Amino acid sequence: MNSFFSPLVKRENPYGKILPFPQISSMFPKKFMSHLDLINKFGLSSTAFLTSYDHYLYFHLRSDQESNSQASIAYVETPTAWVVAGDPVGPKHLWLTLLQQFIQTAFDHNKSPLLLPASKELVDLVRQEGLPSYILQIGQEPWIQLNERRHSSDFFKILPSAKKLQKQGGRVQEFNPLQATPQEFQTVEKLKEDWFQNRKCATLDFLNKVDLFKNHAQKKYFQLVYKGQCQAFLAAVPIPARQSWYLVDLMRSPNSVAGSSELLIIEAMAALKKIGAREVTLGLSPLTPELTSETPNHPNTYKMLHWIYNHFNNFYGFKSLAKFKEKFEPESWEAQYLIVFTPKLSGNLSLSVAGKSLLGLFYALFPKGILHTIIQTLKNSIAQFYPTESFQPFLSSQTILNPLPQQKHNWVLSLPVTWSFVFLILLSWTLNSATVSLGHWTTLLFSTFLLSSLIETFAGPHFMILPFIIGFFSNQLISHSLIQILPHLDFIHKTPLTFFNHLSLGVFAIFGSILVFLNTKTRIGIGLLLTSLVFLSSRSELSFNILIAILLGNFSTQYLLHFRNRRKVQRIQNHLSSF
Amino acid sequence: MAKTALLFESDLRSSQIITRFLNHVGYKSVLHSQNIENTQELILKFTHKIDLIIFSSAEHLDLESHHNFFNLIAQNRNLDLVPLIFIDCNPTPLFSQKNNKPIHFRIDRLLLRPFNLSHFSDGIIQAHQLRWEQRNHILVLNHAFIESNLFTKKENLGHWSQLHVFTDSKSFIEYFNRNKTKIGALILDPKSCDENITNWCLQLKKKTQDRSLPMVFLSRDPSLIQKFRLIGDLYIDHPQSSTTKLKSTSSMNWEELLSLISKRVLNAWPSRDLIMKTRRFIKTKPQKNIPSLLKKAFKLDENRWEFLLLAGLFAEKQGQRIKAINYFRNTLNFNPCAPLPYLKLVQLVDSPQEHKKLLHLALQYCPHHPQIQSLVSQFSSRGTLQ
Repeated sequence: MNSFFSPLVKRENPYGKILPFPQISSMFPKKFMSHLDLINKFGLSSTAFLTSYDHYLYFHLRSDQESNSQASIAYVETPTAWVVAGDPVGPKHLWLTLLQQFIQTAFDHNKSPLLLPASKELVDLVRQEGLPSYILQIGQEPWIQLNERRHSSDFFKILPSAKKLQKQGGRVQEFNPLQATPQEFQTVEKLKEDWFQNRKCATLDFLNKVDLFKNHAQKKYFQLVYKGQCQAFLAAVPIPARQSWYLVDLMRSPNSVAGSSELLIIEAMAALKKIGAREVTLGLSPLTPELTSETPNHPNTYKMLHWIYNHFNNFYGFKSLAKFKEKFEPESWEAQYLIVFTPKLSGNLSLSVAGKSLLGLFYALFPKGILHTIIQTLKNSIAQFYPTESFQPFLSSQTILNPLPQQKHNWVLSLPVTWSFVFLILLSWTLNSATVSLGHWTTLLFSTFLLSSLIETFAGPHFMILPFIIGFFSNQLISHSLIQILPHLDFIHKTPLTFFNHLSLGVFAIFGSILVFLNTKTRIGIGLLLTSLVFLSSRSELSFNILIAILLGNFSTQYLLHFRNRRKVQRIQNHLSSF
Repeated sequence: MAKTALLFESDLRSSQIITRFLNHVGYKSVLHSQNIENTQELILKFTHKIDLIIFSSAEHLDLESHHNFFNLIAQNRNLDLVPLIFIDCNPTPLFSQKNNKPIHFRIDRLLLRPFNLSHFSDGIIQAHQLRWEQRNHILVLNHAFIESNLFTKKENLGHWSQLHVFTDSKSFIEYFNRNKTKIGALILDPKSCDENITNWCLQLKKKTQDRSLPMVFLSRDPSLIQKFRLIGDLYIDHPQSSTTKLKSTSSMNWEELLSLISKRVLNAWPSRDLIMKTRRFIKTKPQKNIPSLLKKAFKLDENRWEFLLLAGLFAEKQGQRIKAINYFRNTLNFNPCAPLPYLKLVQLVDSPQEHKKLLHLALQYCPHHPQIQSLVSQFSSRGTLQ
């Protein structure tokens, strides 16, 4: 038996992005069809069908007599590694030979071979045959049985939001790309764009690449229509050897109603069951903490993975993804692994191999490189960053504040007083630029914008104007009241303050106002920090003035809070009753 | 029965906090709604259970949505008695920009964001009070009562503007159903109550929105008020009147009675709030706040039997026996059907003769109360109480 390594062939879809859709057999070269044929015959893993996408290279195992491949491996080439996408496709007795030849070829090309996600069966084979490797469980895959014992009504019982949506008129329809109109395609494309825009992480490649209408003839598509609009879209890819389907590209509109994804999946499962599907999978839940059987082998690595699972949810929704899949109460969770093949027999991972593999994995997931990934992630994070939203967990649960504006541009426009303050500071800066350093002005401008925008959003402009005015004139208040009573207080700044000082005291008073709306824990934390900072910084002559400004801001806000809902409301009520 | 509030709020965080506030002030059940369709569905399903509506305005809700909501409430006659609180947003949609007229007249109380629990509970109290102030008709069912000279001293009648006297139950019920939103209290002479009106009264008290409507019975005769012992708010002997054909059995006159009911109705919500707070404090150890609460309570209504009962319980806890006995006896003057004062008095008095008297009364007014029954059987078998 000979094997050969097929070189990378860049294939462009000749028909553009989405339209029209000819039969696949006429579209692709023979070499590619061979892999697809193998998938259709031997595809056991959920990811097998996805390896028929354009960005993979294939390593085939062929006999001399036959031109067709007997088994194949789909992989991507990165600068340091060859990263295999899932189990080999072909008869199981050929897996070992194919793997051995692939590993050898990879090392010959000075590349580190690694494979993910690998099934338990493959891992057992690798261990049994003693292939030098480093094996790590990277997650679990939920499988839902579509047998007579479980009906759609059972899913509706455990997912009431889906049932509610169905009652309200949410309908799931099969989407046929061959019969769909250009408008329908545009809607799906728009949904896809919105879906990607809502992610903080840079777009993932490898098995996470979304190519909705690739090999569409073998896929099934479903869409959720609610009030005449497509709210969510789902693609299902076949797992032929298992008579199962993988519900892969689930996308929903950011404004979709609760239960959209759940209803779409339930109805899609019912439709697939009708055409003979035995089970469906929702795909890998990466880094789920239930990695018990493998943990003793590499305890520190699993600790690290667990830490990533707990702390990197803003970057990639590990927890939310796992919880969503758990909601369907799958019958089984199949473990999925990462196998890094090592050159030595020991099976220990050397630093160079680990480095090469990690880099290879990174390039497989983010083929455009580190810099591009960082820039894209930053760009997405900035686009989705809503300062007030991040501030919300620190707010008091004892006060009902204004809700956040639904759109970011509305939020920016709804801050007239903040912008006036910023303008005032800029104007003062240009007039007094010589007296105070650039750093001080920048700090004042930045803090004014941050504090004012927060208080104006959550509480309204009154809660910043009054404290600011009081803080601005707080020094005069102290001079005319406190110092008259206690003339020996040396630590109070008695000399006239500059305009900059007055402005900064006004901003400190706004800070004092914000404290009223914070939860106790945050308030105590900030209060302690601020007090210690003010008293430790013995250089600042204004320390006491700052504390007084904060306190005045705080008290004035508390008074305003009381006044608005007692007297002002009474006035409006009287006005109401006069009509 | 748990009180139910309908909350229209699209912001999840605010919705969670308001729900907590509602639970704190006694609304154990909160119906959440985020859009008009959902509200409609909830109203259809729970019309008779809702006794507070809170509408929270938001930036994304246009004027039409506001109108739709208020029209939905206005169209449902069953919600006429339910107070409505409007939570304003900035900029306020409360007044039309064209003519500065309010968008709807149905608003009972306005709340401006930001607000806290104290503003919120005050708001609920005021909204309820406002609704009750509008219910200024009082109905009397009395087979031989002459109406004419009752309003001679109008300043003593509280907020009642109209008093309607009926001699037959049919016209009484008909009038009630026609003018339900205006009626603030019912005065019934048990002698005039046939089976029809008795059943009607019992049914009325089962409805959430009518549960708080005070029913005053003009008798303290246990045989007459036995059917009504669980639904009456006050039991007063027949008041004095120069025009009545019936012989008065009370030192109270009609004007005093109407003033008493008026106080009870108008202060119902602040009283409820005080009762809840005092009960909470009595149950827990630190009791230093109770005297000030009771002081406030008696300032509101010195004749409210619930306050007298609480004052008795507090005096008993403080070891002030005589004071406690007086409070419990006073409680029984206004509501002889309350079982707790009997049980407490039996513990506080020593003489077996007093015990006998009290148990005799208790058995007459609360014949089915298990604790009273057990005390009676203990007394009759041993001739004394342990």
